[in-house]
Amino acid sequence: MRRISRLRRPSGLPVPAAASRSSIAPQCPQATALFSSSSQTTIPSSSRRPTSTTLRQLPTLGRFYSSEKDPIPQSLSEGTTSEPIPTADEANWEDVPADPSQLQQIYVPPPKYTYATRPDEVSDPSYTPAATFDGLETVGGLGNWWDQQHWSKVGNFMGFKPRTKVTNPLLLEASVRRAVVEAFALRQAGREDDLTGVWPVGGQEELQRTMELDVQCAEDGVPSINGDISAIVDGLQWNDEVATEASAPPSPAVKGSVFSSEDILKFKEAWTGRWKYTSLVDPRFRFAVTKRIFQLTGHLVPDHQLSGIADVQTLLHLVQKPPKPNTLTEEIQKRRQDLVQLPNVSIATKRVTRGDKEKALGRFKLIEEELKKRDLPVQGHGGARKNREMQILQGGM
Amino acid sequence: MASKGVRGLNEAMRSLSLSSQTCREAASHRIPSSTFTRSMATEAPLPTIETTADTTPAAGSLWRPATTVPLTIFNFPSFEPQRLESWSSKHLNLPLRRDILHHAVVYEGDNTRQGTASSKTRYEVAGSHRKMAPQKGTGRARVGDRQSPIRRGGGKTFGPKPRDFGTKITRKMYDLAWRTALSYRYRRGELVVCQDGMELPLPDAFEAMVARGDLPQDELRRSFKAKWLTQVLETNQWGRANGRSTFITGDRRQNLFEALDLVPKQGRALGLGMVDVKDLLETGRIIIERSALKEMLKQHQSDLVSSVFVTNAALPRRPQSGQILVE
Repeated sequence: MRRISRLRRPSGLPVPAAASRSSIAPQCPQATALFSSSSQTTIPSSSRRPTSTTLRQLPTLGRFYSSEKDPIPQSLSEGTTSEPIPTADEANWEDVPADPSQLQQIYVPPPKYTYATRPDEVSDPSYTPAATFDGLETVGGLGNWWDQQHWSKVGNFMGFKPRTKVTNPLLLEASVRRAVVEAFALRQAGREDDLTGVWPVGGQEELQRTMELDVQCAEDGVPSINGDISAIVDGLQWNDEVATEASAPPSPAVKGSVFSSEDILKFKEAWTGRWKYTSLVDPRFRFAVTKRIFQLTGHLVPDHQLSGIADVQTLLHLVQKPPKPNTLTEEIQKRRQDLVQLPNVSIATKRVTRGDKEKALGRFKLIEEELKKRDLPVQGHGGARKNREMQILQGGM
Repeated sequence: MASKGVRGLNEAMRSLSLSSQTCREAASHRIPSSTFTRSMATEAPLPTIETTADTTPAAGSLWRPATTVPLTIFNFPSFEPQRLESWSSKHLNLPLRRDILHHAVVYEGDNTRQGTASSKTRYEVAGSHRKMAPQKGTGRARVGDRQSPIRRGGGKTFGPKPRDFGTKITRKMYDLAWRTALSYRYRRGELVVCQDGMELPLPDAFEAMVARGDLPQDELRRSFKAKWLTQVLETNQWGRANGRSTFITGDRRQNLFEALDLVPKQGRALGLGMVDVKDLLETGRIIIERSALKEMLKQHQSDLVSSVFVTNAALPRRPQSGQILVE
């Protein structure tokens, strides 16, 4: 069998921080300490706390993969509410104590075993062995050690996609637009190699920047952007210098609220519909856009639908399609409210059984009473078997 | 009924009118001079269809099914799309044939049956073959030996004997079923192909703790791996809440297989040699290593690839899979 070479790492990552940005990076900002690279083999232990150098890298790493408190999914889950929600950056800053000495170990092992002196070797003559359990140290029971407080939140696994899918259609549209703008900006800047790499998730600032831009599209589907794309291109670069600069707490602008549906609607009024005709025929460009959408919203375009995507409109339609309801009840409650409103129709989430009918009539209380009086099971048949005699009489065994 | 009656009446009237004519007139009715048959229905002019070379659509405008389909290769634990490849439609986009899948699954089930059930006949039951009672004079029924099937402790007349339940299936059909199962998964978006060397990486902090000897208890190490894997699967929506996943790798990967054995409710791991068509149809999705998928298709394309060496270039070539589209 021919050996197939392993896939290369995503391009566009600066070499020194590559290990810390490995795809299995836990969400912790101290990922450098968790996944040691050749340059940084710091392993936090109880005796040795992470130094401020690791702390200094927090903002970049916080931006790499969306954290648990991802900005976009949160605002999506709010739907139409316009409440300010903390951004990812803010959340990360709150998660991580400002003082490095407060940084705890990510995974705390149990204390070492200590061995008590054997009762026959105790020199103290007044020693009497315990007769009851009270006051003794407990031993064993480490099965759920990691479920308790010994697994810091920052040690959790973080993947490429956000934890929750974006379902707000407006936010989805904004994300698709952002993906198209960013991919096009990279192409304009000549960074063709970075097109398939991993880009920083960014925050609200980046989203706003792409929403403010005016995107036009020619007849042949080639987009054109009126505005400054250099800021966008910079935002798509892993920049360690920026990280050290940003070791200061983020500016209040960044800490502002996420975009609500109203905000996006305001931006959307300024957009012309032409941008949706941007061609996605080029597989490289399409790959970059769909990958970015997956990273931002959690919507993965299935492979077999890829070839059908010729422009952004098709892609948007695909992404915005609401998820299929899991149950019929769910579907009726969500989409067929007209059925629920019918006066002569009642809808039950489960099968209506004999007991339900009795309960609706108010007769079940009496039945229950009588059953209890006779010491019979109220629910079920109490493990009584089927009539075996009848089966034998009918010729079965 | 009424219409039938009316029709019958009409026919009767028609025959009456025919018979009332003279023979010569009738003959002219029956045998038209121009054509030798004539239907009772109104005749419509034949459509003039001209099939010439000009009217056939150009070769380019004909719709042809795509010969290749795109396939995304992901990074394993992070689920990051890393590149796009083109795979043959004959490998990953076959139409669903439930009948073929059924045949294959039944064939596998038959061949998996152990078939070791066994019971003793009267000739195998141990004991003396002495006649239990005299033939006559006891006033009781006639009895033979105590191994008789009608006696308690006797042999079983038509009991099970070890046998082979295995059935046969055409090799080409089985291979087609294999690719049909993969195609079905592909079209449903349930085929996640990951890069080679798929293995569950553990955090360095944990490895360091193990190396330092902070976790002497095996229980602790195992529960860590279980929790870590559960987190990976839940983050990627591959876990129990999403219908479990089947992981297929070329050979055994220590961390991945060990961790999945600890949390069987989240998914299962299989080496390439252990996979069946049935396994491909079970659980929420198949997460397979690229090389394993390639090897799997290589082993199951007997209906596509001739076993005879042919040098004729005009013949259709074997399907090509795995060309890189975007990297």
